Amino acid sequence: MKKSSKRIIVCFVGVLLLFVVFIAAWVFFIFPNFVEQKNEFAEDEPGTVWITEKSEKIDFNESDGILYVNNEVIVFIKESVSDGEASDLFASFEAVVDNSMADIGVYRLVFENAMTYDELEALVKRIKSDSRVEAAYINMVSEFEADAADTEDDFEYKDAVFPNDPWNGDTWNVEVPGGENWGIEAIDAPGAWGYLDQMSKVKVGLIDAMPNLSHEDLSFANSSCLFIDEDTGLTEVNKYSVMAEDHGTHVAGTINAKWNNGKGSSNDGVSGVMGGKGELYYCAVYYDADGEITSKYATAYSYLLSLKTLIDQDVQVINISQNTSRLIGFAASHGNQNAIKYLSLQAELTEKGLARIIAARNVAGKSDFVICVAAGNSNSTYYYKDSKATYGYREEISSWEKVKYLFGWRGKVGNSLALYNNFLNLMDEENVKDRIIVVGAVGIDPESSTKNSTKYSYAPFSNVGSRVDIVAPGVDIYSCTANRYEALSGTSMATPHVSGVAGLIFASNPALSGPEVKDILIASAIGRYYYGDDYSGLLNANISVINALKTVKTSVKKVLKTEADDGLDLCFVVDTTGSMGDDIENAKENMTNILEHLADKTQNYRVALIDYRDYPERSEDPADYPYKIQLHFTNDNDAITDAINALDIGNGGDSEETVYSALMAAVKLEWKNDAKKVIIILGDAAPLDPEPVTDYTYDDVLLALFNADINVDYDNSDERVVDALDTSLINVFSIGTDAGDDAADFFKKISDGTGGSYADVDDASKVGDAIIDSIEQIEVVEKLTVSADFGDALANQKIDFYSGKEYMFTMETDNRGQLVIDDIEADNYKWTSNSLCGGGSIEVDRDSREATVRMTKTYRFTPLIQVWNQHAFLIYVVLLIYIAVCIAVPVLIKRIRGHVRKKKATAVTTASMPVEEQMQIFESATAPEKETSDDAQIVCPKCGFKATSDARFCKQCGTKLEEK
Amino acid sequence: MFKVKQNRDNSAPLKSNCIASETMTLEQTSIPIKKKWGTGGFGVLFSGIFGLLLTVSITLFILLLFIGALSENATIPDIGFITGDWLAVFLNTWYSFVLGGIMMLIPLLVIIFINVHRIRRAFLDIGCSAIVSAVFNIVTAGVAAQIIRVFSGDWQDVLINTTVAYRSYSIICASGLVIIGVTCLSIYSCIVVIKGGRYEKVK
Repeated sequence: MKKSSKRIIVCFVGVLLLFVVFIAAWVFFIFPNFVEQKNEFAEDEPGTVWITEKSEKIDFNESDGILYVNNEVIVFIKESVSDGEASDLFASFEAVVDNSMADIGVYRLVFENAMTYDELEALVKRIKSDSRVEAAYINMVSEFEADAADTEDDFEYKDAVFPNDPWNGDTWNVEVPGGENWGIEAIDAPGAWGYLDQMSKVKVGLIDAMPNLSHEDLSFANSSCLFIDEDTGLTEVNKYSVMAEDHGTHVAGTINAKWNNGKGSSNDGVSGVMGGKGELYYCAVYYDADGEITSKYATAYSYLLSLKTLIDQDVQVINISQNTSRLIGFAASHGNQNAIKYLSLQAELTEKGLARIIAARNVAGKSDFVICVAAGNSNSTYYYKDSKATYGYREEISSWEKVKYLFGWRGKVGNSLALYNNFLNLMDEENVKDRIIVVGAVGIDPESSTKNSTKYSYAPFSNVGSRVDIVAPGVDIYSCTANRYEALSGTSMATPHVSGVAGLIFASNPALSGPEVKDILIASAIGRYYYGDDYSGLLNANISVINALKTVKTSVKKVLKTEADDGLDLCFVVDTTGSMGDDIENAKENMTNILEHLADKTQNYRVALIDYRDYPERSEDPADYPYKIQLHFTNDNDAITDAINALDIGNGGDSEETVYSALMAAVKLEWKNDAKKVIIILGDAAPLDPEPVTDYTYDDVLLALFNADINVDYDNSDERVVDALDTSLINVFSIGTDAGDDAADFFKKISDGTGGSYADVDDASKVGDAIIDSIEQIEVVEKLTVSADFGDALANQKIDFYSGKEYMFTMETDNRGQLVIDDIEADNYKWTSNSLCGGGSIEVDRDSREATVRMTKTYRFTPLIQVWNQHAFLIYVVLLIYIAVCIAVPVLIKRIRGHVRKKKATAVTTASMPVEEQMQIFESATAPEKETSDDAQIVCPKCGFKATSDARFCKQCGTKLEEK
Repeated sequence: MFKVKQNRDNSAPLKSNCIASETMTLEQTSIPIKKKWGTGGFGVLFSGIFGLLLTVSITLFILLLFIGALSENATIPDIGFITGDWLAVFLNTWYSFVLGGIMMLIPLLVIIFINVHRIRRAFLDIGCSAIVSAVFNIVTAGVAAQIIRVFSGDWQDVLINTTVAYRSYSIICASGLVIIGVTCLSIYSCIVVIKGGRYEKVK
């Protein structure tokens, strides 16, 4: 083998060895230590194997992916069944009965011997078949992890109050939140603290890792650690003392750290969101396996028990900054049926229990509650698909995948739904769901924040989906820890902000229900923080408290959402007595025109039709009636026209008609919650006041019109809200057709009182025009869903939207430069691209329901950046080729020159030689370079290096060589 | 055929660099030659200093172009006693472009002047300056967000959403500078190969 070939082989083997060493180093050292994306927001996941090894009472059904207690069954007894009957039922089983929740008919049967999953299922089936049993479940186990009206009113607004807590030396600036206390500033808690003197104390609880009960900045009213003995199944309270952990302490500190208590021992004390108005309660379930305590897992039953323990102590806000397995939540988010079934079964059991707790408290007239749950932190965690895994994914990356990682392969990440983070989020019974608030996290966006303004962005780790109700600060939140104070991140840190504000709402009005508190929280949130196609507003303590306090001052639960932005609901209330014949005929003739004007106003409209006459006994016409709903709300134009055309004329008797009954009937129609609500009443007679039979008066009708969507009991209500005219919910537009004075006065009064208008028509031929005029006066705020195309140059770019100079929200375009904007009013907006390829205007058109994007703000370099964004790869390739050419040219020149010089040298020396010598010289010139003899060399005078005779410079020191 | 090259040390006798031949030798008379511009130690020193100036002026010119472009659509805040309005007028007219251009042209011309007798050095200097400017641009693009943190609130408001664009802009400029730099260094290498590098004949 030639020497050169040997060298090549040695080089090849060397490179191969280096590559193998590199791959080994990558897999075993570089990847695990420097590359692998650790999720710093959630704690280590114990895994199902760990749990089953930890406890002999817990088994894992691999086929369904369900962890369960192998000797327990949870039984829901029917409400009609007495305690004695329940005892009789359970006597037939050889089991210990845990009746901790007997008051709501929930029992736990603990059997002596372990059973297989199939045996337990058969047992559950047998128990369910008993007529006294409503439901029965296997007691499933979960892993638990910490997730680390713009109207004038007489409300007395107050200034913000800033406590003297040192916050590690940070100062207060609600306008530009930043520093250690940015979370409290971002939700404008100091604004809410201005109303502390109007608030009462509220009990707030947390189910979490053990907090430091003796922390200098914390004070607990009660702590209930429920220790369930794995052997006996019995539950004991506070049997052991448990070591405090950072997570639980941090959460407690954010909710209700001592407020305005001066300096902490080392200038680092903090202020709780509740401003000292909270009383902290702690509860958690711990499993006791022969003295070894763990809270890493719990059964659905014990979880329910924790909730009930807190609720029974009249705790009104419960904070749960925990998830029930990130992996299972992620797998369920990506459609794994095992994961979905596992979570759904637990949700079903807990939901049923919570529903009973709610019902029992309602009956007893006890205070209501809300539960704030973290959305989860797994949205930026990589998972690896594995068909052999129970849930279809695993968290650990294999060695082969680590190698693939080098070449750009990645696991699955993103679209982790908050819905599956904790089975509490999955409960969908309205009564329960309305009391569960799911919280996502935002952080300060450093790339968009300045010393003059702070912008926030949805935290990439925070789980997504429509189940997220609200967002709150959750990145770098400074609060108490087990030993001192520290900043932590996660939806675990966002949730206590919401819990604190929910507590402040209850403190402002303890009579509010859980769903009302949730409504206030969500309605008071500001801005839009997008996560995929969904978005939520940012929690605002100040607005929430003001809205809550307003509910105390009004006799009815006041409107929370004042903006009607879901199209138009229009109800025609028509007098069809004898005198209205010509007028109705004209309305019928103009119906097409009227509907066209309606469509011009908004395409999202619905119409209903009610006509009224009088009581037959008063008019002495059996065909008469007080009112008749001719058409319920519909957007079917043919149905609307047919209903109008079908109107016939009755008698009506005297000059007063049953206007109130008709209006009341109109109020009770099924109006859309967020639609603009309008009644157009057409008549010529005054109402009967008070109206016979119903006793309706003007005030009753007005009250009803004001409170159309908050379910006031109109029939029994004596309340009057006549001083709140500005917030009318149903606008009445009246058209008096040759109406008498009394009728005209009534129509005018009710129109003025409800924000409508009155039109007096003296000619029947003008009725159609009057209706159209009324429609024209309706102000419809319609929120549209439009798509906008920003072009390929802005693909996958963040776009900031502004209304005038006011920042609205930020969205990201797809890979075609397009995006869909939800719930936006038809108007002109401004946009800028963060990549500054430009900025411009965006016109949202109501009729076409399209958004027209115009680029008006460009820069000299914009076209350059656009070309770069579109062709960056190509430009890089060309650049690399150019660099290669630039390197190659001098090298090439050198070689060519060397070659030419050699040829010339050969030519000069051989010119006068015999042919044989020329041949020898030619051979030596063309042969591979050999060490030349001393005769053919030039010695460098400086370093002594021997160079070839044709060398011009010393290769070693660069000295010019002299000719020989 | 003779080729005569001057030694670095002009006082040394000149020797032929012709191909060695037994029959040909050259005796060169030792004629003292006047030292040329930029061929001594000071030439190298000045060349380096102006190379640095060129690097700084290129970087500043690129920044000036960016801020100038931004000023078209933004309210420029004051810088000390210089009012924002005045600054905006300056940035939006050709004055800024010309001033920046001149600031860049001066060190460039000086480098060429210093190295007029050894033009390869000028190429080396310009090439290195361009490459260093390119590297500097890429570095500033990476830390732009952090740099903005130290600015005043008003300037932050103007610049805060420009970091992404500045990143692209800097990379584009850096690419251009890399092309210029690599071209100059390539020319330098060609001259070295052709004319003998350190022993290039001084005209």
